[in-house]
Parts: sequence; C-alpha cells; structure tokens
Amino acid sequence: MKCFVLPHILTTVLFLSFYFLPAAAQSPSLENKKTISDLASEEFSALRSKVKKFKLSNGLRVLFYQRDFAPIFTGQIWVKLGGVDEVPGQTGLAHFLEHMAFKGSDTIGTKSYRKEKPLLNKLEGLMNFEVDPSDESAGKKLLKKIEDVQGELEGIWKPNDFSKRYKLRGATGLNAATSKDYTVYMVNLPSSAFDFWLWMESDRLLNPVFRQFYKEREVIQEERRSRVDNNPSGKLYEALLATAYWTHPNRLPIIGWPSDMANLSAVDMRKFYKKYYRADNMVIVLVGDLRGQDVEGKLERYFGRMESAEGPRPKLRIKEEPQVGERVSVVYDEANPQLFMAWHKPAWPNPDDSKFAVLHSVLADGRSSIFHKELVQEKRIALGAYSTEAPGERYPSLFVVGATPAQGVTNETLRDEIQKILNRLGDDLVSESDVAAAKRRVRVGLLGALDSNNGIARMLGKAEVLWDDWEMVFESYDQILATTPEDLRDLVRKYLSPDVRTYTHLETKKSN
Amino acid sequence: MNILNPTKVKILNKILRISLMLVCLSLASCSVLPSGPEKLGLDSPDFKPSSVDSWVLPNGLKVLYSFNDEVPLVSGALYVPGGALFEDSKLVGLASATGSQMRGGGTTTISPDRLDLMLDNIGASIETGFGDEFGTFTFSSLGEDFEKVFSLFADVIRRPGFDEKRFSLWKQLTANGIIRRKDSPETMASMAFADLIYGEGSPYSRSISSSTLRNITRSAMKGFYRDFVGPSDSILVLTGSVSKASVREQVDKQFSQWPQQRRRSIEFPKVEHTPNPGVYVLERNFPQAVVLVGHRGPKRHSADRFPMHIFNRIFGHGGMESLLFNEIRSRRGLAYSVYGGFSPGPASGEFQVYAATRVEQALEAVKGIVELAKKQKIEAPSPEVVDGAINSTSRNFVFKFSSPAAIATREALLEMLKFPVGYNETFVEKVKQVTPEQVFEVAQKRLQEEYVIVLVGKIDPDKVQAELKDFGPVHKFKFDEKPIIPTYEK
Repeated sequence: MKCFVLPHILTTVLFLSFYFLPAAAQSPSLENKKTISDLASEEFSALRSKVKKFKLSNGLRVLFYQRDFAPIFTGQIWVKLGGVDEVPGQTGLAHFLEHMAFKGSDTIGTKSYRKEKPLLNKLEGLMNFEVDPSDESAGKKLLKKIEDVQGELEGIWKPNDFSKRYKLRGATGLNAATSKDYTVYMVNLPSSAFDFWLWMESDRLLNPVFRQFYKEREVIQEERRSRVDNNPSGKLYEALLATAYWTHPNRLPIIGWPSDMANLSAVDMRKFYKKYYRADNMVIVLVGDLRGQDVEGKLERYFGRMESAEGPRPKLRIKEEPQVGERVSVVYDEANPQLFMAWHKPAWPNPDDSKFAVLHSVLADGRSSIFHKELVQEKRIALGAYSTEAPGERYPSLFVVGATPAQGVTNETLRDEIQKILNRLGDDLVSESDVAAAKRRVRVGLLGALDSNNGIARMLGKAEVLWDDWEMVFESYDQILATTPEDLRDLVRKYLSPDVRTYTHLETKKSN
Repeated sequence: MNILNPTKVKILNKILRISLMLVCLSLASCSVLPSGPEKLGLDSPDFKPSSVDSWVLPNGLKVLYSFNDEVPLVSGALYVPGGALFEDSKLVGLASATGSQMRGGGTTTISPDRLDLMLDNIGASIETGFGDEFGTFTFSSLGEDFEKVFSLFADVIRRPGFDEKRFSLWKQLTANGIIRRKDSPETMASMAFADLIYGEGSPYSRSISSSTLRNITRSAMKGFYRDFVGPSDSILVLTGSVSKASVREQVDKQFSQWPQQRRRSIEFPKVEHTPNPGVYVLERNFPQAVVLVGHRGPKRHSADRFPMHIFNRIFGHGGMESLLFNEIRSRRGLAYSVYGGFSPGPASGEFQVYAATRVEQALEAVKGIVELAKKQKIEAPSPEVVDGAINSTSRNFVFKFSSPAAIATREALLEMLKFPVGYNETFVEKVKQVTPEQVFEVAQKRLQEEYVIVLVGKIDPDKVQAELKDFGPVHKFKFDEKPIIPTYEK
C-alpha cells in the first residue's frame, strides 16, 4: 500500500501530463476536427474498439478491455476524490482514507467483529477525550485505559489480513495512490482469481472498518517526513503550491499539513467516505484475460450491492482569482540550491490545455530539447531542467519549470536564462519540423503506455474518472496533432510572462 | 371487523406470490455470492510461456527475438558482461563514464549533437550504461523506424566516438552529483553500510570520488570499452512489431561482422574484509532518521536459494504481509517504509533491513528490527506461514511472463547472471518442495548474531551510546563526499 501520487513534477514523464488530458470542446473547428480525429482513430482504432463501457444498476461505471497474452488481469477502482476535495484543518484525509481501505472489513482483518466493534467505539471515545494538561494523574489514567483497549484489540485483529489474502493468490502491485484529483486502488492477479477480486473489492467498499486508525495516523506522518521534511525537493514543491495559489485547495499538500494530520479523526473519515465513495463517483477498470467470465453479470452481483447515489455529486465552488504580479518565496535548507518557476494555466475544456503538451516536448523532452541543449550542454549552468504540469488536472493548474543550478551558478542566473528562453519562444516561431518531432515523441509516449494491462487501465481509468469519458484521451491527442508553431508562440505570450510568474527557490543555509 | 371480499383476496394472494418470488429471487441472487473469499482464487494459474526464438552468430553473439505487434513499437537490449566491479581502484567511476559516453559521446561518424537530433526527431531512444556486473545498452522506436534506429544502435555499440566536449560535461555533472550526495540521508547511509560490510575501497562498496574522477580519461574509457564490449558471451534481445525475417537480416547486417574481442576475464573480486559490528551514527539535520541494519550474506548461487527466497518473502521482501512490515509499521506505527532480507551477490551478498523513522523513535525501530531478526533464529516459521509464502510465490510466477518482452528479457538476464539451465521450468516445483525446517535452517545458518547498524539523522550520539550499547560499540562518523568512518572503537 500506498503511495500518494507524486505530482508530475517529480515524475518527469512528459506524456503522463499529456495523455490524461481531457477533450477539447471548443476548438478546432468541426470540419477540421473531423480530419484530425480520423488520424487519431486510425492509429488507435484497435484499442478503441476493444474497450467496453457499461454502467451497473446503481450507476457505477465499468471499463473492460480483454487482453489475452497471459492468464492475468489488472483490476483498478477509481474514485473521484483527491486532495483538492479537502478543506484546511483536514488536509491529508483523502490519502489517509486510502491507507485505511487496506485495513479490512467486518469479516476481513478481524477474528470477531462482534467483539471488536464495542472496543473500537471505546477507543474512539478515549482518544478524543480531553484531559486537563496540568492533571498528570488523569493523563496517566487515560493513557493506561487506551493501552488496555489497544491490547485487547490487538488480540482480535488479524493485521494485514487483506493484503495477505491477496498475496496468497499471487497478487502483484497491490497498491493505491492519491492525487490532487482522484484515488485509485490497483492490483494484478492471475485470471483464476477474478471472483476473489470481486469479493474482496466489493467487500471493502461495502463494509469498511477503519481499524488500527491511530497507528496508521503515525504511519502517514512518517510518510510525510520521508516525502517532505527529509526531502529538499518535497519542501520546495510544497512552498511552490502555497505561493502560487491563494484560495484554491490546489495550494494544500496531498499528504496534509503536520498539525492537521495529527488530529484527523475516524468520525471525519467516515463522513468523508460516505460523501465521496458513492457509486456514481467511481469507476472500475478491468484489463486482461477474463475470457469465459461473465464479467458484466458478476460485477452487477458484487458491486451492484452498493447503494445508488442520491442527489448531485459533490462539487467544488472555490476558484483561484487571476494572479496579479510576480510571487516569490524562498526555502532555506542545508541542501544545495534548486528552483521552481510556475505559471497558472487553464484546465480542460480550454483548448490551450493540450498545446502545453507540445510545449513540454519542445522544451524538455530529449537531449536535443531546448532546455537540455542550451542550459546543460552549451551554457553549462544547469545540472538539469524540465517542465511539467502540477498539481492536478481537474482544475486550472500550473505550468512548472524545475531546474538545478550547476555549482557556482545562482538560482537567479538560471531563472533569468530560463525566462529568456521562454521570452524568445514568445517572439520567434519554433520550426515546423521541431513541432512535428515533438508531436511524434508524444505519440510514441502514448503508444508506450499501451503495452501492459496496468498502463492501459491507468490511461482509461484516469480519463473516465476525471472527465466522465475515457475517449477524451484521444480527443486530447487530436488537439495535440493540431498544434502549430503559431499556437506555441501565442501560448507562451499569453501565459508565461514574468509578470505573473511564481518563483520558489531553495537556498543553502548551514545550520548551527 | 373488516372482511375481505374475494377479489381483494385474489389481489392480495397475487401480491403475496410476487413478493415471495422476489424474496426467493433475491435470496437466490444473494446465495450466488460466497459468504467469504476463503475458497476463491486458489487455483494455480494454468499457463505455458510462449517460446522465444534464439540463434547465435558465428562471433558468439546470442540473439533472442520475440514478435509483438500489439503496438507499433520495437525495442531491444544488448547485455554485455563486465562492469564496475572490474574497474581499477584508481579509476572508480570508469564503467559509469564509459557507459554514459558510449551513447552521450556520439559515434566515430556521427557527432553527439546530430545523434541526439536524429533520435529525438523520430521519438526514438538509445541508452547505454554499465552496472556492477554487466552493461545494458537499449534502444526503442516505432516499428517503421526499426532499420534506421537499429543501425544507429549498432554504430553506438561498435563505433562509439567518446566526444571530448561531452566527456567534459559528464565530468562536470558527476562532480556536482558527488557534492549533492549530502542532500540525501539514504545515499549517505547506504554508502556507509557498504563500506562497513565490504571494507572501504572494496569493489563492492566503493563509489566515484573527486580524485578518481580526475583520473578518468578518454583513453581509459576506450580501454574499458575494448576490454569488455564485444559479441562473445553477449546477448541481444529484440521484441516488437518487426518480423523475424527483418530482424535476422538487420542483425546479420549490423553485427555478424563484429569481431570477437579478447575480453578481459570476468573473475569476481574476492571479499576479504571482516566487518566490525556495532552502531555507526552520522548526525545530520534530518528530522527523519534513515536506519540500516545488517551484515554480509550469501552468494547468488547458493544451495539454499529456494528456502532463502521463501525466508525473504516471509521476513521482509513480501510487502504488506511481511513480518517486518507487520511489526515495525502496522503494530508499532514506527515507519512508512520498512523492508529487508537477503540480497545475494556474485561473490558475497548481504542481509539488510531499511527503515525510515522520526528521530525520536529511531532507537526503538533499531531494537524492533534486531529483535525480529534474532527471533527468526530461535523460532521456526509455522507450516501455515511457509505454505502461504510458497503459494504466493508460485501463483505469482506467471507475472514474470506477462509480455513477449518480459519473457525474452528474463531469459537473457538469467543467462547473464549464470542461473542454471532449466531454472524457469523447475522454479515452481522447487519452491513447492521447500519445508519449514529448511526456512528455519536458513535463518539459523545465515543470520548472524551481531549487526552493523547505521543511523543518519538528527540523532544525539550520546543517547545512542546509552540506549544501544548492547548492540556493539557506538561510533560517530562523518561524511564529506564519502563516509569517513573511524576504525577505532570508542
């Protein structure tokens, strides 16, 4: 279990930021679109014809892709719930919930839920009981009571029962991830274990029990220390988001702020679960060899037991106001310098969204890309430089450039050289051949993601959960194919001015 | 009293019948679902991996080929014996330099800039590198570009240019990388751990330093290249949407005239160092401590390979159900990342446990890890636990054969690492023969009584001295561009 999804900025895989982008709704023109779509359709027609989409009676959507090279399959469950759905004071809750989904149910993970339930309630009451900090004796008594209940529970719990059962069936990649936009649960199994998967996954959705809550709360705080507190890039990234966004929850860390994490409660988690883990807010994706299985019928029997959702799906109403003026922040650390530069960019269905994928490729994909060639090879002022998009895709996001200065070069020098490159792209056209090459790299990246059950499932599931239509992947591809040198120039002019930049840099400061 | 008339009774009867039917249907529907998952998914996967075409060129180069046209891509890898373990001690980093510059430095006829452009323009890639034991040179492209890219790939491998400017850039980037080692507690801890168990300067522990970096020259790289890169004992793997006829033709064209080299002998250096168990502390301003606990371990091809495999799965390589995960993470809440076990190597391997935990509880984590390891020496695993690990391993085996590329690559790597012929075919059978006694024997025989313990973080060494004195002498160490470990005992 359980990583939380690192933003693209830390993955540096260019096409990832492209191929989950949503469809264009406004541009290009209908006539033009048809021509371009035909190109994409031809390339991916085999894939598209093999994807079956259906809805269960409760509104839960399913994507199924039969792929039969080996008797194995990938099962993924996507939930449209991510860090962006959290509020200050409860940051980290979506990710914590993802951890707790591995703790079992009223039958998995326990020797007797009948005996366990009252103890869990008792523990919950004790953990939230407030004592006067000056009353040492009351504090000790409370601690003793907590330890006693914990001790009793440990005798009832079957730790990691959920994952043990999976591993016994030969599972690989049993994991989950939480991003700003979604949560995904995933596993690969032998085809012979399809019924087992149906049983386990529907059970954890129908009857979850958040046991070992407080120990796991310690674990996620350790995860934060690994990803942020011990990691210079993690600290800098957290500062970047908190600087670039003022109001939108994109400014909050997925893992959570330390003080929020230490106070997350099981009561809050249950409310959160009920609100977001609803049939119409989820997507099941199955890719692999399930020949001879009544996939649709079985899914209905197992997952159709979830209640149909009532009322509209949760919706976020907060919007980030347009940035006025440059924003700057600095992180002092013992580590060596590095920097981020970021600009607000639109999300789908704004047609500019897809063009950024081509811009990324021109700027930073490959040894001959502009950043590598000029900053690393020729001027030798950077150890590396890349561009990506962060922190999510559901809402307007950031075009981010990350770079590491060479020894003896300041962050400021490197920042200015990067801005010069961007300014140049706003003045001069990138050649037709360079744009064509960038598109080809995007195409190869997309194809490369399609050679495994897992890769196909991720591509389909992400598009469906974010945009309610997996085919948006190819709509987006159409848009990329339509991008021209003039589009790139206009894109840079429109969005990447230093006047609306966020600049966050890490400077070395030796501690005492 | 309200007496029902016959019509109403009929209607009520009808409603009753329909209700009963619905209840029955509902029960029938429910009864389809098992009450628990215990009996589900326990059949072993029925599969027979597809075969891989293979042939050997007269110069000794072995070729493995597997067709796959699911997507119009092609990829390949050439594995060549030789690597960092065979560097001269004054030239540590030479394998890395050679690997990087074979691709980075262009070819004798194509400049690095032009090569970069040719590949980027068609979305293709060629990469080269050396590990400790062998080199791995790869390419990938669209199927339609196979001939073009394969020709460039052959050029890179047979006629690398080792361009001067690119080499000087590599030196600059590497020097910067050495400086930045201090930004990562994991890097510092693992370098110290390797020095401690293999000995400082051992081929199994050493890392490139500023002084060895200065010694690496173009001529040294060319020498290393000549010593190791050639067709004999090398394996070329090709998979993707390109026909066998085309592959045969192109392989012949590009590699049949590749002359056999007089390869330097591949003899793995011996490990002679005797480690000093104890606690080694690097005090650095990280709020989370990195903890490494372990000692030297067995060679790769030991007789107890299969019991050791099962031991690893039970102890700490098995993910969420392992003993380490269960004890250190789930039960004690001490760490997010914790794993470990035996990692066999060519001449000597190691037993190592990794954990990252906040500094206040690092010592508790160390105690928990050592306690758990020691427990394995005195308590035999239950037959249920061993059965679980065996079933998990054997049912999981199918994933090694999930694609044509995975099958061909696995075959090549097993051969490079000198696994016995028939290893794949007999793996499941051998795993199923492992007994709890054999797993216990691995723990008793292979786990040592004393451990090398490395701690990096904002830790007070005096506290470590007070709390971990039973684990051996406590030493502070420093880190400049590499660990500076005192040889004296405190």
